Amino acid sequence: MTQPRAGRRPLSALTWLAWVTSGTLVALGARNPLVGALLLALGVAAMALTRIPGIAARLRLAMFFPLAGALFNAAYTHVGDSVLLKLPEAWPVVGGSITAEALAYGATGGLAIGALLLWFGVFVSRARAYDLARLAPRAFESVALVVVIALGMAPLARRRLDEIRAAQATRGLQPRGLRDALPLWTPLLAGGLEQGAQLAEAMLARGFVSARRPGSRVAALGVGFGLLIAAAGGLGQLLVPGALPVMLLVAGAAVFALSALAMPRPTTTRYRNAPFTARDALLTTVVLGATALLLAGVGGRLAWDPYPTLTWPDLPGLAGPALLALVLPPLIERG
Amino acid sequence: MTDRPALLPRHAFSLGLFGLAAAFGGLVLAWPFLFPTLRGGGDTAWVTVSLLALCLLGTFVDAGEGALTPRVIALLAVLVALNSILRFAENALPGPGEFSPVFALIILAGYAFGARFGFLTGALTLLVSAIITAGVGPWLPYQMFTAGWVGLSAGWLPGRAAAQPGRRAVIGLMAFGVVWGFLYGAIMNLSFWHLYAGTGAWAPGLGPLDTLQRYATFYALTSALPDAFRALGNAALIGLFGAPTLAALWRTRRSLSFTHTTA
Repeated sequence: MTQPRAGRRPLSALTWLAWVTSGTLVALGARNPLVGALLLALGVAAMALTRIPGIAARLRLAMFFPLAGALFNAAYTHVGDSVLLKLPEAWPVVGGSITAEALAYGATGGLAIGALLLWFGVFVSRARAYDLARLAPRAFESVALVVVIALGMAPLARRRLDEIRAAQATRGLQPRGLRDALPLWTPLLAGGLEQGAQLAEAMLARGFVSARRPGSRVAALGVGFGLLIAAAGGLGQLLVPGALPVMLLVAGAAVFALSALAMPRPTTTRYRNAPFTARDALLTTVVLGATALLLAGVGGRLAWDPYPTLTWPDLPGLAGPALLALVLPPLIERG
Repeated sequence: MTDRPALLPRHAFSLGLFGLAAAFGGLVLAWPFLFPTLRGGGDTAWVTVSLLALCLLGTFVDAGEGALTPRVIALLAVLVALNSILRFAENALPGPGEFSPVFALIILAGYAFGARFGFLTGALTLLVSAIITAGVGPWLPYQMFTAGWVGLSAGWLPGRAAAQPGRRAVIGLMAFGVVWGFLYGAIMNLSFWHLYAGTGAWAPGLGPLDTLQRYATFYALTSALPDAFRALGNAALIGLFGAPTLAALWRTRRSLSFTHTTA
């Protein structure tokens, strides 16, 4: 993880979480090639501002998605007025008209995914796994702990694999095929399991307990209830789209989240504090506000459908500044 | 000490919540066949991703409700870390087609430690490896849920109660790996299938059988061959590494099942 300028406190993991959530919502919510292109550019800018190495390689990978999306969609979707070429109808699946509309639609979807690849690259680099795990409500604390431990163990496992490989090489083993990997895998697994047992003993020695706490069952019941409401809303939105199913989905998600948050949390001390400062609060508000504006305020005009005849996508005046507001966290982090 | 230890407690309440979340996730994944009159498009994409994410969290809540002891947390973390390294290696040196080395360990862990442990191994492997390889995105809930089901179903296989897994168990798991090699690809395709229109692609209003027929055509033409590499890879990895891996996991299982009580 690259560090921000010396003397400056890094942004909270919660701010980065809000930032990447906003990018995801906008990318998936507004299917518009101009928005996708702007998000891709913002992702590159964010990588540059936060000094993440390998921008060119990551950008090449991101650009693969619109290309593959365009080709894939054009090959399978034979809808649209602007026919570029015709493949024999006898050819299964791909046979038929190859249209500019299908190319554009596929590229737009791929552009959103490519942009998200860059945004999540920045997020993973800036938000520490430990801080993200601390953000997890009590309901997910154990699973978050597994994730944090696994993230810490993965590089160690890689180093141990190198050591085992070197040790086996001194015994004359030169792995050539899959079968030769067995002398590498077996000690790696055995060593890992041994390390896990030691870790468990260390956790027990430090008083880590996972006993059921009073009130946790009621909260878990709320979680299940919230899940049911959200599922009903989600299925309702798919069957009979409208305001009521969306409200049910949101209400279910809210009951789910509140119940998860309400689970009793044990009193623990922290070695490292990552406070949520006023700067974090301001940036989170700006980012979420811009997202709400994009999705609710100008969302209707952002939606773009190339079928049946390709048209130039619309980008309302307010969308530009709202999108630019999303670059604020990387900009502030750079300082 | 018991022959068949329950690493995760089997409270009716916990099982109910887990079953609810896992079953809803399955319904969400299978919507093109169960609700063929639905419309597709962007709305469907965000609703299904949101619902799957909620279902995943639902399965994690069960684990967080006092179910994971320090030993289980450490064991799960070790297996997830080792499997994530395999996925990292896969990204660095991609295998043929859709070959991936991560499913073998998910299957073996689910078989050794039970359905819910297998689900968590599968889902968290995909999460951690996605973080390591910067592969986080809206497709992740689909990947996590499907990989979770790989481990979950491995825990339902017979023979787990045996004192030591034999050759028959390994052969059975190889066949299981072949089935999931194709099934994983078939389920993952459902995440984007409804976004495409045309020959062999999804169309609203068709009956379940017609939809299935269309999907079978689409799958056979686009994914069966690449997925065959995943299926054969699973079988090869379980065949080569299954016996020693299961032996190590069985030893761990025995040590985890050891408890003592004071009179």
